[in-house]
Amino acid sequence: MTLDERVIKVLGDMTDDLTPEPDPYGRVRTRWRRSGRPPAGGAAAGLGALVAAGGLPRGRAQRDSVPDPTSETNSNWNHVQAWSERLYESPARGGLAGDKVYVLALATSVAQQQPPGEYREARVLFLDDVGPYRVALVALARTAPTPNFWAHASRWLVADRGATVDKLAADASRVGDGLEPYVEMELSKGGVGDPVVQIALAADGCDFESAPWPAVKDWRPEPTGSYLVRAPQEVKPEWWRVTCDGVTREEGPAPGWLAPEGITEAQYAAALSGTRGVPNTDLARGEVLSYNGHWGYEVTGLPKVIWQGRIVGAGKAADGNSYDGTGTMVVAPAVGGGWRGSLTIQYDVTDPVSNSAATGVPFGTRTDPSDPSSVVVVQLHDKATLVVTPATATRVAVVRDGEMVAKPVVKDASAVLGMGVKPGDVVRATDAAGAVVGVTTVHDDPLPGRSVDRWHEE
Amino acid sequence: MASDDDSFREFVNTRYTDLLRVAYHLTGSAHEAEDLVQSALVKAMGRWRRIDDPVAYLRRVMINHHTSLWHRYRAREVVTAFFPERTASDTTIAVDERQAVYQAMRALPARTRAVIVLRYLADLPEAEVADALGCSVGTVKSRASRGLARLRDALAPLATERSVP
Repeated sequence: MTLDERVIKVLGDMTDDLTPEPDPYGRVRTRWRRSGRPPAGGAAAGLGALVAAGGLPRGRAQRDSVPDPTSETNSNWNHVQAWSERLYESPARGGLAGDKVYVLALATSVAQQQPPGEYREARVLFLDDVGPYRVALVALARTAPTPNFWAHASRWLVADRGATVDKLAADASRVGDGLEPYVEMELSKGGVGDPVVQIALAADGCDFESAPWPAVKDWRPEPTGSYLVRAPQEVKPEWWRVTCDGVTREEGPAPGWLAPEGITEAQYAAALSGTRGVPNTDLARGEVLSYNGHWGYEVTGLPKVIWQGRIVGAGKAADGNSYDGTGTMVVAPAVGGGWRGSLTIQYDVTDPVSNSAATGVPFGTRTDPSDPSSVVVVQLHDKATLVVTPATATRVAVVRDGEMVAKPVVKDASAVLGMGVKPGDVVRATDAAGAVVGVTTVHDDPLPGRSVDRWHEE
Repeated sequence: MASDDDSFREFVNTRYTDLLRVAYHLTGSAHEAEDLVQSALVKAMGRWRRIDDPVAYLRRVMINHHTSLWHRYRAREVVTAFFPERTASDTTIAVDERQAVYQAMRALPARTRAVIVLRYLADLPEAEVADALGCSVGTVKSRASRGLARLRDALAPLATERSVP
């Protein structure tokens, strides 16, 4: 047994004896009644792919910038650790950070709850009353850090506004998550109308800015400098940015999504209108719901379903992942331009190898893929590519270096190529009369709307 | 609705432990895991008919819930569990191994931990892990490689000990 296999076996063994507390179903029902709301939001995602989307007469294409798996060197990790250390060494921030007695008592209480010898010190990095909550971020320095581990653990503590140290630290025995260079949290009781607060923190000396969504252009410095707090009345659609020593290290949307109270029937109707291929309302609604939650303020409008249909003949990638099934393609305009997209493929039967029932491929385009005349090209894996065409198309032609390399028949506004595509490939959709009804060129660009995370860089 | 409810009940009764295992590795605590699974199931309950792959959906919900640092604030059960109690046949080294891997898992960033859980415990292919986490396959590879390396480092001294007669 290799060491990797041993690791995985030990992980599995750890939960061998894990048994649920009594009556799981009854407890779900009770919690459901107590929550009194139809939960909003959702989550889903996709994979890397070479893609293109374009309308007549010219199309654009983009490619997910898949990082080199070997690029995360020790050097990168050391940079992350250095920023984490800098955050740990920062003075306490927040409106109550000046209460030295409280801060010291809190740090002491947290430290005393830890296993003897595991940590050498506890520090309060943030303390404030925000909305109805008293919130603290506490970090602990490991007594014997090792190069591959986080040197610090962290824990958010929450109690009622004005809580005593004892109440705030009542549940501080469990710490664990490594202290990352940038931390943010959103806090709520989770019910309809319950106040939501947001807090984000970076090392002292860094500067927070925020910009209103969806334009995300008018960046304004946060008065608090190296941290950011949003009380309930201040929570809004926006992006946050952190600049340290003149370098933007973090940039991304604040937590939240476009339909926080759920998607209305009118919004569903708009999202599902004009779907090419063979619409499947149930699948489409599920994807719209999921990507509303997943993309959040990285996009400027609710996801729209632009194509649904069968994907046949795509086969399996080298890693064994299958790509045949029922596809649903959703897109949304990205902050900063371009479009985010995702193709979800629902398998007819659960894949016996992976035991999964669906897979997905994320993509981005420069032009509007929801335009009915657009041609959308999404590489599924090295040997299969999906082309979504205008509804009137009957054939697709792929031209590479001036030569036609594929010409599959279109069915239900789509065709599967038994090959991957390359930047520069021209993909034309033609109708029964041979007229070009859509064309695009495959490009090699990063996905639009991606957040910035540069803590691993020098 | 009755059949929906029956279907949901059957799902909870048959798959709860599987979900709990994933949640345990994400949270590091049996009580937190219960809390996470319960929250995810409440979320799923309201849209049960529309969920085609409940296990995948619930995994996504749990991971997003956990990794986005969305903290539900309420009276929490006191967390006392370290990892599930085991008795009898465990050797000292086996206990030490679990302890070492447990601590190493807790030291991983939340999303790296999620990659490890989905890739190596749920046994999903990289593509499906990327789908669940909303990142590229390359990122999954990278996080899996780095995360596994740290778990390996944690276990290596004990593995050496195990191999000594």
